[in-house]
Amino acid sequence: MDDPQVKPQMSLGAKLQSVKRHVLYLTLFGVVSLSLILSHLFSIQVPSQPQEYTKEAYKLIRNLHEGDTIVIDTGATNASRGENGGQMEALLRMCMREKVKFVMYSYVEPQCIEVARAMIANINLERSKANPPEPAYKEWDDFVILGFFPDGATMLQTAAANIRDAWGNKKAKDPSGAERSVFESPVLQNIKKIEDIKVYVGISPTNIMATIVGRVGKRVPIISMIAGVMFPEQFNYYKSGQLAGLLNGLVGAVEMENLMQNGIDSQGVAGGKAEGPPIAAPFPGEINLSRGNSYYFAFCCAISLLMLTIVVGNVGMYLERKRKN
Amino acid sequence: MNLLAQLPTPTNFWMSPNGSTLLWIEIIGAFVLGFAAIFGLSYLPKNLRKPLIGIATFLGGLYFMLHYLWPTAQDYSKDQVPKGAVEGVSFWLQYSLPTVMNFNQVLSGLLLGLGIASLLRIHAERVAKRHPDWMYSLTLIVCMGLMAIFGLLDWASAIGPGQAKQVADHPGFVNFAYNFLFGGLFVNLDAVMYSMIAFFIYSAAYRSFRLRSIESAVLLGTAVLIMLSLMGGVMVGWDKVVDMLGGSGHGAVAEFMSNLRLGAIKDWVQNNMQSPSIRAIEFGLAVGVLAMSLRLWLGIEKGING
Amino acid sequence: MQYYDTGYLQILLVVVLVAFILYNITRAKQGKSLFIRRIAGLNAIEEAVGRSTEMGRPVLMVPGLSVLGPVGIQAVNIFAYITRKAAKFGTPIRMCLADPALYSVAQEIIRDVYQSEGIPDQYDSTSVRFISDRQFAFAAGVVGTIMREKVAACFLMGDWYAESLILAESANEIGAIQVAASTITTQTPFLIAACDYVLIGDEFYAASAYLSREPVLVGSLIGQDWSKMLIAGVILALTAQASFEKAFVQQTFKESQKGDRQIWTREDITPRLKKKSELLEFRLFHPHDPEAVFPKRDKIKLQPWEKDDTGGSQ
Repeated sequence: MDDPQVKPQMSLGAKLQSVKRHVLYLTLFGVVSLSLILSHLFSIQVPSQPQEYTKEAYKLIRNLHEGDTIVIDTGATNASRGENGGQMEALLRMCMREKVKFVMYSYVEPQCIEVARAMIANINLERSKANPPEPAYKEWDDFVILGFFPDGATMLQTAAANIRDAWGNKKAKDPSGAERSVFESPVLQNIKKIEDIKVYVGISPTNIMATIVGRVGKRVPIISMIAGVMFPEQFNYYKSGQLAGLLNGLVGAVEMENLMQNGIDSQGVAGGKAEGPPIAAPFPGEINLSRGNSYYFAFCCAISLLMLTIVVGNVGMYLERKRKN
Repeated sequence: MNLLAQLPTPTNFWMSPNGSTLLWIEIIGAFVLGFAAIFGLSYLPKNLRKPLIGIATFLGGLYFMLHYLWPTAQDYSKDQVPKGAVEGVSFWLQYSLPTVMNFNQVLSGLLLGLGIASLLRIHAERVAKRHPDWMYSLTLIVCMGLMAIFGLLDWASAIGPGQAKQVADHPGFVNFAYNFLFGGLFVNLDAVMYSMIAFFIYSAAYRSFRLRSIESAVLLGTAVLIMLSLMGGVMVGWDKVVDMLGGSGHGAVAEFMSNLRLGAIKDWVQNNMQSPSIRAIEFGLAVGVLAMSLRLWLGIEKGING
Repeated sequence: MQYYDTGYLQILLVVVLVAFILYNITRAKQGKSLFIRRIAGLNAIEEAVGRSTEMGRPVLMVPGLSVLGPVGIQAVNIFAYITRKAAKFGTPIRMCLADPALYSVAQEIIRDVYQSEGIPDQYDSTSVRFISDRQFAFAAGVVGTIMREKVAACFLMGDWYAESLILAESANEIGAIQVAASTITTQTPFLIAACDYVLIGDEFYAASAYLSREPVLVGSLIGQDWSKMLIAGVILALTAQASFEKAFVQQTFKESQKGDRQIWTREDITPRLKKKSELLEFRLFHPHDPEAVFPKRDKIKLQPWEKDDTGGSQ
């Protein structure tokens, strides 16, 4: 509304208060682009302090056992890859290293499944290039993708009552190429009720947790990996004990990657070196610091620029008031 | 769900084999009947339509309310007989759900058709009348048509035994075109729109975060602290300074100083200011939506126009 | 035996809230005068429509990504009021929707408004538009409308997600007066930053009662207030009770599930102060959750097509 026209005789204070939008946008574009390039060229690592809710999520996922099955309920789209991308990749890496099986679906958008498939393929490629190469994670044997459900709330309501009824009509291809019920796959063959799922992870930029907590809450430990803007709302679910862990947007992805790198020691300190078996061990020598960390420097630069701009606006207001008085 | 499952001699009227003439007759019959019913309803006088909508809304609401509240049978399967009336209702609720949801989806599909018709009408008119921005309208119509055509062709190319694998291994022109339009254009344009929010947040924050009053000073101070806490480097540096000033040791001074760690301040704001206010707003919203739903369900919603 | 069988407590609470609402609707229908406080955002509606009339530009109304449900209907109800005001002055309107079902209902309601005002010929069937059900395609479409038609007033009310700021800032850029309301709390700050007036939280649901003073709506609103007072009262009472119990009341027994999973047994322990999970307040909302019991049921033979239907029960 109050976007006064910039006139030639404007005072400095007025000018600082009414910087044109295109100047602001160009500055942001320049700063973020430059910081991304610099971060890539010089591998800039910004330190981070993992928060309690991220540590809880890491502890839960890190202490899963080989053969356990988890649910990945994805709402991550190409648009939200800046935040959900790092979270999803960290989760997939951990599952594959621990040989944890997962079942994946979406009810946010059909493209979420394609986005997730591309990420799985990328991490499989990364594993094939490791030294020594690690086996690829295979659909049917290690994970199944149930696809898109048009009505997530009803599906979850049914799954809470009878998981086999909710997902029973979903089919997947076994290694021979034959289509069979997903419940015949090694991933789901031992799953009889929702409680058999060890962890339910929701990754999304939108609030899918209201649906999940309302339907399967208390039955399965739930972890929410959410975009930063939705964090304050999700934090309530964590504080009330309805979420077992929580990742706060890009910062959460960075914290998770750092926990994968450094672990949580026996005293509960992230990256600590206390004696005794760690509460959640790290994955030394593997690719841990990835997408989240590569965006973090640019994120910090953008926030710094935002604060600087706020200061500029306020200085302008102060100068203008002083001039008028 | 098979509504006739309990009949002694099962009939397969609902389960005609794929590709059979009977199935085609059923599909065409249902299509004609469905359209006749919808057009019939739209020509009903208003005083007759209202109670009809009221009854349908009530029954729909009752079904989903029961679905949520009725005790749910555990670990049931289709070949089991329910124990008692409560389980019987529970079984019925579970097994009727796919049918009810199909109704829902068919209606949604139909309404989407209405929406698209509206969109096409507006933009076709603009193109026809050479409205100043008619090129945008033409772009929309062309894109919509292309996406629909290639989407359908792509889907059709993967039907049939072994076809999906064949398409995956050797994608044809239609598959490439669909992937280009959806994966190459739509998904990325979607991301472009999303990323534009960063610019809008930036300009909105620049304009609105001004120290105009005590309240705005408190808001700005809190916002800056929270923003600083998102930057790990600043957080680590801040805490080092606090530790240097006596926050890392023991005793009263150290205990007091530890409250000044950035993480502690952020936690305090989150736990004692942010979360309670969000909860309070959420309570209000939940009660509001409950009242509105109740009025709609019971047919007593008057609206502003009565 | 279960200590507190509170599994149905939440349902009971909902029943009480429903009773409050229905009772107050009855009270209002009987002609009791009930007070509603001033809501600035709603008073601004006339100002915004007046400005549009003066400038000869359209009024834009957008319910965000609301679908056909309580939020969507409430938004369209408010838009119907705005449309009536605009119709009186012959000001053009634009309504952009993302849900086809809500689009159909909105079209009907807006047509009714023009009919009830006695000017059905002024109704333009293209003024209510379905844009797209894809979030950002919808946002792009609405921004296009804002920019091309240079709307003078913009009402953004309903379920808003990431697209909220795209629309609000675009409208801000062309100097439109904006009144907004979001049922998604995390978007409210963005709207406050970019709009002139914002309805916060349940003010959105109070709007129809405030604008129409219809007894059913006013009664319902008072019922909502009673409900909120009850919730606040319960929170205060339980906070006081829990603080007292934690500080002074000792735990003298332990409960455990043995043998039959439905049976809870108690054994005495040395008295100690209670843990959080032993407080009444905690247990009221965390009932004992015994493991699910799977009854043995008789079996019937399924027809082949019935097995294919779900495939999961084998």
